[in-house]
Amino acid sequence: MSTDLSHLPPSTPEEIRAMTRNAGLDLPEELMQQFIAAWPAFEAMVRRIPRSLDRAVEPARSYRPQRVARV
Amino acid sequence: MEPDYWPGGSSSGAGAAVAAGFVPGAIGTDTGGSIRGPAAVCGIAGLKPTYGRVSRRGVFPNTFTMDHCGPLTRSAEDIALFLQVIAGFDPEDPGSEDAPVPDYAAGLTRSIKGLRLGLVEHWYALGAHPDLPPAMSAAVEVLRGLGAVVEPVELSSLRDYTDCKTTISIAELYAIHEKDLKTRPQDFGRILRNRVLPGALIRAEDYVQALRWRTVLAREQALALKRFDALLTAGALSVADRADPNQPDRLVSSPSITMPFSVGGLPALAIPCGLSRAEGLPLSLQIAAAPMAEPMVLRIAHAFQQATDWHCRHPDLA
Repeated sequence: MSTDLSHLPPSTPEEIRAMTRNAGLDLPEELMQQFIAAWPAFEAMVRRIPRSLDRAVEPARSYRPQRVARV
Repeated sequence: MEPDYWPGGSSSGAGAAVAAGFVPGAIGTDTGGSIRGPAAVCGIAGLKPTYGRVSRRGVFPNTFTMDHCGPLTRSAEDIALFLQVIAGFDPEDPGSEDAPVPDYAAGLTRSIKGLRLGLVEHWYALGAHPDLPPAMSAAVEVLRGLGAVVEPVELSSLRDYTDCKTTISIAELYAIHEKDLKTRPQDFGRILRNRVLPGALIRAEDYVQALRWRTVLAREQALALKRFDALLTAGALSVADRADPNQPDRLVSSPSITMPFSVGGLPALAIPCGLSRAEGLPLSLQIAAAPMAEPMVLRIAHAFQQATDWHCRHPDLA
């Protein structure tokens, strides 16, 4: 079993448009074209993230109520 | 060093002003290398302190979990003096660490004889500027000559660190800019817009998995720093780019050699260690150590600068 998502095919321009719309973005066509060109490199990065870390590995983000909820 | 070249980013003005001698020191911000990058290509010193060592209060956020403020100066000694002023706990910064602030200048002149330094050579051995590996080898020989024990150490690839950092960053960055990107995307510059927009397509599980991977990568560095007093690598993989607004975005075109210590949240200092032969532009050495071990980083850098004069070379802008 693959431990990341890098085996998936790159999103097509149509899929990128749909994902962008679903995120609530309404980009002018020129900016959309730029984004369609930019996204594949980021998509590849995200897909290389390992998906099979040990269950006990905590995110590197701690919630400290006395600090965060300070009033 | 050369007005036709880009001074790195994003603390570009701070780096250029210090290099040109307009100011003795400046504050920069560093999420993935924005202090160390300008320092490296401008031939000056730039310190990304430990995450939480210097308050981020009032700074426009980029990536909450990786934003740092720190000094850029010409020498490690000036970094120590500058850091003394800005380091410390700030209850208004949720990421601030409530840890004592040592006297950073006090330990500068201690010998580095016997210190164990781990050289992360595989990060710059391939694909870097051709003059960088020889300059790094020369820097290592200087440190060995001062009595340090330098041995190779292998960590995860730059690609791994860059993927982890970038996934976290773009998700947080998009959250900061979402409203503006939805209402006035044309007001962003092309490069910034295309760095921020991908965050819209990052799923919650991608972000959390990247944060969990960060834990794994940070532990890898912590383990290495049980064997070594500090880690050495290059401060940048190349020299300054020519000032050209149409340059490709390096964030996606090549992995970053500053991002590993952003992921680890470790103190990391870039100092000059040579000049390229073809362009005569600065090359840089990066020194990192355990969390809050800024005194160790500064001690090694100061010893190096007492034995070399790369930090004394300044541009003639007249």
